[in-house]
Amino acid sequence: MSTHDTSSAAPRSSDGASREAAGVTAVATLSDDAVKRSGASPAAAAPDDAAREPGSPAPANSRTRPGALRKSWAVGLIGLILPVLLVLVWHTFSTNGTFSPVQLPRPSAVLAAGWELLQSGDLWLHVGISTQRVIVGFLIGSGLGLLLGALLGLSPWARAIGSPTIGALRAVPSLAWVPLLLLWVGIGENSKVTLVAIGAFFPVYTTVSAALRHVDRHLIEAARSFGLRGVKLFTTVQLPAVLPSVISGLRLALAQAWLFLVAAELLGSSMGLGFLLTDSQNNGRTDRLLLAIVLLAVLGKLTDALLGVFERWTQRRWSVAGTR
Amino acid sequence: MSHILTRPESAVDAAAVTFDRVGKSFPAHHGAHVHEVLRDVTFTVRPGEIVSVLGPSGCGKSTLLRAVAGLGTASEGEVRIDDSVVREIDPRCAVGFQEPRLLPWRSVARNVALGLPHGTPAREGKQRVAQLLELVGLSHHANHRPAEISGGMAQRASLARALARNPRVLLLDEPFGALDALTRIRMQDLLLDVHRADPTTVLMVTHDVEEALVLSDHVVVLARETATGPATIAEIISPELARPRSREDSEITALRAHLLALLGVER
Ligand SMILES: Nc1ncnc2c1ncn2[C@@H]1O[C@H](COP(=O)(O)OP(=O)(O)OP(=O)(O)O)[C@@H](O)[C@H]1O
Ligand SMILES: [Mg+2]
Repeated sequence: MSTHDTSSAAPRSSDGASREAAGVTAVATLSDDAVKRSGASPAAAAPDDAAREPGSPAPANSRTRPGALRKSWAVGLIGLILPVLLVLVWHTFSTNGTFSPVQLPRPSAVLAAGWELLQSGDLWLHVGISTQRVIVGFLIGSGLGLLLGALLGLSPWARAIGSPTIGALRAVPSLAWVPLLLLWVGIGENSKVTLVAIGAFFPVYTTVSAALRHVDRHLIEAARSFGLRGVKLFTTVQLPAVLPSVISGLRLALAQAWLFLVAAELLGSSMGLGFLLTDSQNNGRTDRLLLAIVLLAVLGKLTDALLGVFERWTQRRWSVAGTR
Repeated sequence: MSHILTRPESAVDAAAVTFDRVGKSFPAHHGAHVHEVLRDVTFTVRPGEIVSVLGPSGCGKSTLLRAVAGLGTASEGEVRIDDSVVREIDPRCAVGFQEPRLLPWRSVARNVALGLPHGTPAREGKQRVAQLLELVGLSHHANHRPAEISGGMAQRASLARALARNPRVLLLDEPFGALDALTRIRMQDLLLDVHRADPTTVLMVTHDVEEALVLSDHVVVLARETATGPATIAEIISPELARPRSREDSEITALRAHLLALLGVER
């Protein structure tokens, strides 16, 4: 036998020989165990009391923030500092003559424009139709993205067949579809929703298929050795493993959906925030223009927050609750 | 050890494992040749025996174990469990992998529950998981996540998961490798306790010569003739002593010296 390879095994085999000598360390390890048992493990030590129901297991993602940032209202307040500052700077520049009112109307003028549109009922019309287009397009696009992403991520066959084509379609700058969409679907609602769906599809498809391909093969093998197959294997290992990526894919998709919505509405519509933008530009209504931008920011943030709620629900559903 | 695992309703009889001229090759990374890891491995584990596999790192011990579980089938010869040839993942086996392989998003208890046989009633399963966690000393960490426990604790959780299956063939790949000396002895005793209460067939890989001698009916030593060649059985040692065995027993110490010499350790 060659000594070349056995030499690497030697230190481990001699473990047993030195067992008597290891008595001291063994005692030390045991007391270490006792410390852990008394509940001083890192997760148990991080007081996240407000968020944790009594009797529930340790939080799934006990991200420990620095002390001062632990309270959520404190975080919220800190996040408000920058917007308030921005409005103040805006106000200063719009009143001290740096910019003319046409270039940069005062914040109060924008508010007034909003009030005026609210009174006429146009505000709800624009906001409502835009939100509807985004949500319908996002649901269709991300739904298809989830389906195809899962299919191509899980099946090497489906990947071999579909991946090159989808990759090529993704390479087409999405706005290039606009003329075709107008030709095929017409200028109505459907073409806008379709464009939004195209925008939402690719981020979800890409993240889901990539994440599924990179799930730890050791974990899948272990689960398979314990008899898990098919749907059960998927919901036990793959789904929880890719959930964080799926959520970030959905977030990207939502942002893309708003992007494509504005593009669609700028190109041709009679309602919606994109229309409000072009219409205001044509009429020199910079106040309404700014209003539309602020509304887009607020709506984008709101829908993203809704996704955050969904994220927490999925985390509870797949990573904490349940017995098997 | 005061707690002995109660024998579940679903208990089944131990199975025999037969290696019949087993060889295994992997496609080589470069060149047209294949990488031959194992050649002509032949031996039989009788039902209810504990058999250890010893050998230098990289000689194919895990590969041999995986062939029994059906996770990587033999390229030459065949592995049989009782009389049927292993061709795919075999439900009669439970594997304790070399790495713990716990699902990071599940609590320790729910990871152990993954090992329960299918169709275990919820209540019975819960009880069995609690019992196993108690046995491996993890009751206080049942609700921790794998990232929140130490490597040795994770290894014990993985052992508990394999035991939860109550398999006909228990395959353990270095189950005590990450444990400190005292915990290691406790877990070895635990394995013997569990085995006495429910004598299933155990095939385990280890690097610890003494562990192999104290636990097993047979110790299979794998070795390579050349540095890159395939490994095969160099010797099978069968300590004919009743368990529990003392580590200081003269036969054990004599066999230990012999095995260490066989593995190339000068004493
Ligand atoms: N899936 C695989 N593909 C290619 N080669 C492999 C594969 N699995 C194992 N091998 C090779 O087979 C040989 C034996 O590996 P194995 O994991 O069985 O060793 P081992 O005896 O368990 O080693 P250790 O004691 O370090 O765990 C190694 O040279 C390894 O490179
Ligand atoms: Mg190994």
